[in-house]
Amino acid sequence: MNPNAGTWSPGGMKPAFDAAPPKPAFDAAPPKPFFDAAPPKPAFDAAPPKPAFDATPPTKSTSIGKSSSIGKSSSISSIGKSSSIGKASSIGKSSSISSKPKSSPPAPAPAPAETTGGDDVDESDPLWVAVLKIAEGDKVRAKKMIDDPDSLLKYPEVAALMGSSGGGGEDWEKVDELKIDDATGGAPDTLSGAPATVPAPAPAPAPAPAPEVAAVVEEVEEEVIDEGDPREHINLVFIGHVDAGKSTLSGNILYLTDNVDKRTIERYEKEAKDRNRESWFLAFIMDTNEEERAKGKTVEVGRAFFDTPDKRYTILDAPGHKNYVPQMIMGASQADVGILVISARKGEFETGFERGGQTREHAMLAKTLGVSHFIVVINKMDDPTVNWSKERFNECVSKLRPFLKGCGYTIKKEVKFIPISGLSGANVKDEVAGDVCPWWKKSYESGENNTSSPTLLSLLDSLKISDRDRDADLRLPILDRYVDRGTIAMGKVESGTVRRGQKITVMPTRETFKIDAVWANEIAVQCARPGENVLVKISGAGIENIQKGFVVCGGEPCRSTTKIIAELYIMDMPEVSRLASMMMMMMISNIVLITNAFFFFLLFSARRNRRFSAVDFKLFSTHTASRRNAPFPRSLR
Amino acid sequence: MTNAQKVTTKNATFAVVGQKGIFMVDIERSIPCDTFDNAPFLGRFTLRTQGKTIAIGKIKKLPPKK
Repeated sequence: MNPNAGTWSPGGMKPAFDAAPPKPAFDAAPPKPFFDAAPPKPAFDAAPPKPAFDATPPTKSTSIGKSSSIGKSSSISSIGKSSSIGKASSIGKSSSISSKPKSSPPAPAPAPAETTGGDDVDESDPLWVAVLKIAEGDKVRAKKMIDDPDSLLKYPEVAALMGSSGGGGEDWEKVDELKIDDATGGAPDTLSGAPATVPAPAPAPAPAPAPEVAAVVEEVEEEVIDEGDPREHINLVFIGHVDAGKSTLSGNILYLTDNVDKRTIERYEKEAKDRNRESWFLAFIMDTNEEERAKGKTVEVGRAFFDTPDKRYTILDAPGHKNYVPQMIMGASQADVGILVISARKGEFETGFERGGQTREHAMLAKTLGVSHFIVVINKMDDPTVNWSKERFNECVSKLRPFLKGCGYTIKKEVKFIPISGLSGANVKDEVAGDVCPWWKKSYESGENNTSSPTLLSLLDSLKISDRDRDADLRLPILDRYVDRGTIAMGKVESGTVRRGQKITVMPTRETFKIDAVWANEIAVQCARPGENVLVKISGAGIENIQKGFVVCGGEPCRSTTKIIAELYIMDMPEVSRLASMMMMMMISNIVLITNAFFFFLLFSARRNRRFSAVDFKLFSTHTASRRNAPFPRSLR
Repeated sequence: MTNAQKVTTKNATFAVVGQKGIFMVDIERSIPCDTFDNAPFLGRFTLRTQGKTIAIGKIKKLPPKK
């Protein structure tokens, strides 16, 4: 950078700054960015002038020289000039403006500022004259017109004036004015503003974003595939007790399907070794944040994609720890296939089942959250305490059967058991070696355990997901949203098809928007079928219009209510008497506080019985009914 | 109150673990939902408190449209 730049700025600009505040003109919006943008000027001084401006007449190009501090002498002269503005501005900048046609660029920039907002208009300014002419001598109207340069350009006189690049000053002014206009339009950090810097940056900001946007649009259009990938898409959720090996298994699946490159694996291996937890390296693929890695516990639902020749999958790696059950519920509510990971290692299998073990709760939740297929993988079969023993496998299976039956699964149809090793990858993609596990081949060939496929991936490929209705009304529960050139919502299409340009209603707010773009697994598509995880850009919606737990509806919107009649299955009893205070209801990604439900005699019964043998679920007590004048419950009886 | 699809008690005041029943639930704010029969994914929910799942439910009926 030119050493002069440094001296130029403080020397030249300071006075201009000082002079600014007293002028009412500068309180107006347009001039403001000019002053905001002024300080970074030295940076632009170093920038080479744009070719467009090299072609301008001699008077102007010398001024460019000054402004960009190319020549020492010229920079000095510009100092002189801008400081003269400072002085002049006390009596009105118009005085310096009037000398504009032959003066340096620092002068013209304040000119529009003056003309737009100020009282002292430079009467000799050709642009002003022209505008005044258009405005038929009405000064107020002319000022207004100058405020709006875009519309001004419609007039032939002005256009001609603009076209004549010889009239340097006006051109400048115009550019500057436009710039200021741009800058006020939400980009105060654009390079505009300071007169001296105009030559270099002025052409840059305006055209620069445009090609970029165009490029993006083009890109999107090129990428658009009508239906996306024709292969079926399935969401898998891995559930199970803490440390059963969910993350390791999902990591290994990604590795075996070539979605993680070798170098990354080596890096993770080293990292895991540094932590003295060598067996965790596969889990590091899924557990990306520091906290998760340090403790070896998944906290947030990890997401990853992989595909096989037949199908595409999204892995949702749910946390196993009991504190993170809400996250697990959110993960499982998107899933089509649940994979319950059970550790076969001695002791671990049993703890998962004890009261408080997550195996139980997870299996239960998965069933109720609409997981249609359930695969039980008996993991850690390679562990020394198990060593692919058939007895241990059968023991696990026989213990799981009655339990899963209790959760409401029909064992014979829905549940499949498969022994695997998440760490070594046996039976995940490739079948376990015959000499390690001789009994497995016989077992799957005879169709024991409902499994006729030898490996987990082949089993997944053989699954058929029904109940996907692509002609129904669109329902897209929003799981998350963010802002990236518009509001983008994330979710899984539960039914119907989401298309670009489709009109949608967002429930429960009932606002209507239009869908601008649809991405399925990060590829832009025209429409997405049910079962796809999609990102949709919703035009016209602010971040507050689209929130987690809302449902994007097409066609007839779904209902939205605060009162429901539901069939409840009581699973567990709260142990503490304070419970009445808080009870949450979780639906999709909604968590709602239950305000008024059915526990009227709870505390009473607690006192009498000393313990909770029963929770009072008094059916819509008369008290509530009368208070709310609700005729609704009567229809139930 | 129904248990095993048979009505065992009418206007019961208690439910014990393992029982199914039909309940009315009021919630704090309006949420988008639908009956389980119409749209299974919008008709399922869980009740949790203190880190435990107490009950799971299916929506049977919604209040009549206004």
